Amino acid sequence: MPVTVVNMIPKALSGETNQDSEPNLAINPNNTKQIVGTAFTPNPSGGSLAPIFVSSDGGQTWVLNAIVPGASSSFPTFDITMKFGGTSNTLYGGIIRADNTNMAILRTKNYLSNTPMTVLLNRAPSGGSIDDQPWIQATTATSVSGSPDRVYVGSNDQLTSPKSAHMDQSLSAATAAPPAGFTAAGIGLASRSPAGGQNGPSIRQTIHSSGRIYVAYFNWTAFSSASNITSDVVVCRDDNWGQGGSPYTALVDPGDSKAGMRVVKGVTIPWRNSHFIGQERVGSHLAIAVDPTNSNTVYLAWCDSPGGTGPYTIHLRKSTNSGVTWSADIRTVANGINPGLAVNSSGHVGFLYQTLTTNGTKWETHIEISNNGFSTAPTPIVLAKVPSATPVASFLPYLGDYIYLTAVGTTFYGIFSANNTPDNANFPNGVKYQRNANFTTHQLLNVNNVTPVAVSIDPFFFSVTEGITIQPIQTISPIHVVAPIQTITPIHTIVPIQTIAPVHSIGPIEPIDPIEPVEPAKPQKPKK
Amino acid sequence: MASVQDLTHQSGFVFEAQITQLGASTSDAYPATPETAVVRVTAIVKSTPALSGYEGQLITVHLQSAAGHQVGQQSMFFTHGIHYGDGLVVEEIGSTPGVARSMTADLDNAVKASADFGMTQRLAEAELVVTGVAGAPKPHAAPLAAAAAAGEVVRKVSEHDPDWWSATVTIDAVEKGSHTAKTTEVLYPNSQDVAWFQAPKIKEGDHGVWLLHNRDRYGKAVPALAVTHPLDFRPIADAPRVRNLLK
Repeated sequence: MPVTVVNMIPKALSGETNQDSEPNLAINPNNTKQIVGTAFTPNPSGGSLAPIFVSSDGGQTWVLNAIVPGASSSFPTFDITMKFGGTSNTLYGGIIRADNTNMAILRTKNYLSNTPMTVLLNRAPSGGSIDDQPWIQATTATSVSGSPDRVYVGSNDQLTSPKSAHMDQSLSAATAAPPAGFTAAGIGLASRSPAGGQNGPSIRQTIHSSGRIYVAYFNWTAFSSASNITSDVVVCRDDNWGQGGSPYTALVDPGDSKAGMRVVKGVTIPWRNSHFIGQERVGSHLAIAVDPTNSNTVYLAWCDSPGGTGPYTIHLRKSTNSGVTWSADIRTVANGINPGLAVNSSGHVGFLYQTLTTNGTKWETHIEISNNGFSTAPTPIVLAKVPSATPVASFLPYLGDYIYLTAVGTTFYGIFSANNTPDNANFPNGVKYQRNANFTTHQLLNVNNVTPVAVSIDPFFFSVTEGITIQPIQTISPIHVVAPIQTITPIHTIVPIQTIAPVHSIGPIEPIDPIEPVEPAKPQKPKK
Repeated sequence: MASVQDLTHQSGFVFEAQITQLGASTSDAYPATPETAVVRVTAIVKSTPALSGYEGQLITVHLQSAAGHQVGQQSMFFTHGIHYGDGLVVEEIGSTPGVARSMTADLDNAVKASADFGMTQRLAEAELVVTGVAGAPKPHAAPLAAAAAAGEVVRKVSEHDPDWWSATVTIDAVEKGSHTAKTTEVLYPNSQDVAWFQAPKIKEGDHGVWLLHNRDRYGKAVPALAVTHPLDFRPIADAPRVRNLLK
């Protein structure tokens, strides 16, 4: 499968040494050449607008475009995610602003324009605790009259604490003036009051074109003195775009008759807002993806510490009956973080993750693509294998509290952050750099292509294009035995045609004696 | 025309450059127009670290107007970056003919004023400004673990929690505000999260100027007087500058 990996830092910023972690990606389904990436990347000129990475050529080259409001004097944004609507070419964003920590939902019709994004919703955190991880998904509801853009932003919102799993949504977000269908209150997702004080930071949703939406979140049932969380992993579902009086209640757990199926109960998740694994923090990692070819099939991944003492591990599970029941683990990855999931138009599932390997000295970024629902384990495609101890972390998260994977058609697209040492050995499937770099000396270089630049964390775009899979010719079921043709009742014997008596020969016509001419009668004298 | 000081404050990238081409561009993705000029940067006056390597390099300036600019001319450009791709494109906020060395005093004052702007703001917002020495820091609130062990309802947590710690500062002098005690408790966010990593992290023996606020840098109320912005602690060598700004 052709694999493309691109370091997204433009040549003009060859001198930058920022920790560009926590990346997210948006592909325009209407034109896959148009792609947007985000990370904790500052505006190179400072100011009140944070930048996004933009590409117009399918991710081969990238430019920084500063259009996100809310930067502070010293940091661009906090958590940020972006998505295009389905056919509208409109880009939407969900952010935690760096100037005032408000959660904001943004929109632009032209991701290449210098015009700042429009703020559709701007909500201050409540209770003094900053919200976590606004996670945006968007689509165009082409089955609905008017084909509106439907935009969903999950977040951990203390506004509705302790049931802090929250959804802000608009059923028609593309053109209306702010708030463009978003409401100040949004929707609370959690049906259970979490005894652990709140839901976990990660809220993840996946949208099917039919209007079915699955949402995953953590229901914290306890928070121990050792800062270990006991949690359920919950999936709720809505079958009609999140509309109606009781949205996201289509799945009811028979165990407690509450909305939201507890896929697993009572897992242990260490809450470590510190350098726990390879300089990275842990506590909330979650991903979910629906099969676009079959809305009953959905994949879920999360991280926990098995048995409370095992290494931080990613679990991958599947449901084929709309979330009612779930498989056991179909994949596990020890020392793994940042799961990403996507299903392409062939129903093949992509599983992205980062794992600490080689005695803790390497961060590896893998994607696995399965064409049989992980009935067999696919061979991982190694996108990057980089040092874990350099550079030294400037802040947390080091690589990110998330990375991202999506699919358009049969192609998987994604983004991750990693050590940017220019070494082909670090990128087994190849890599392209725009920033100046010497791959022989493994040295980054400044804009003058001479001055060395220190190693840092960069965002990397990737795509994996599946070939056309020729399905083996199915064995043709034998043709059913054809019933023999019914005997046709014989046609009555046709009486043979009677011999026609020959026509008597007609003799030649005898010549006719010519008629003696008749003398005309002499006129007689009239009698007196 | 705005003053050099105002232009410097508004600009993220201030530099001296010589115009090499008019109506041209160094970036394939940023088409040339009559207002775009290719310039060679000959001296940098103000920049972020990301742009500090551009001395000697060609970049594109999107001029307010090409009028008054000529090839070969040297000018000071006050700019803001607008395109970072295969080349750098900056937008002119202002320009003035001449070279940096001919206006060194003005530029130095402008850069200093720009740097002082943030400090001036923090000083204005501070409740109390003292000089003094910090004692050993300690967690401010009962840590989550202890609270849970005590059977308390665990407070809400976020990846962006500040993780408040505090230290006792023994005061040399009160520079702003009113405080009669010889010490004061100073709160700081110990978290390395993106929201707080730039805040001062107090170590025992830190001697300097403390700008103490009752709101954090995001405007939210804090449990006690706190330092939360990178400028809220300055080494003692900066005390004269701070006193000057307080006048």
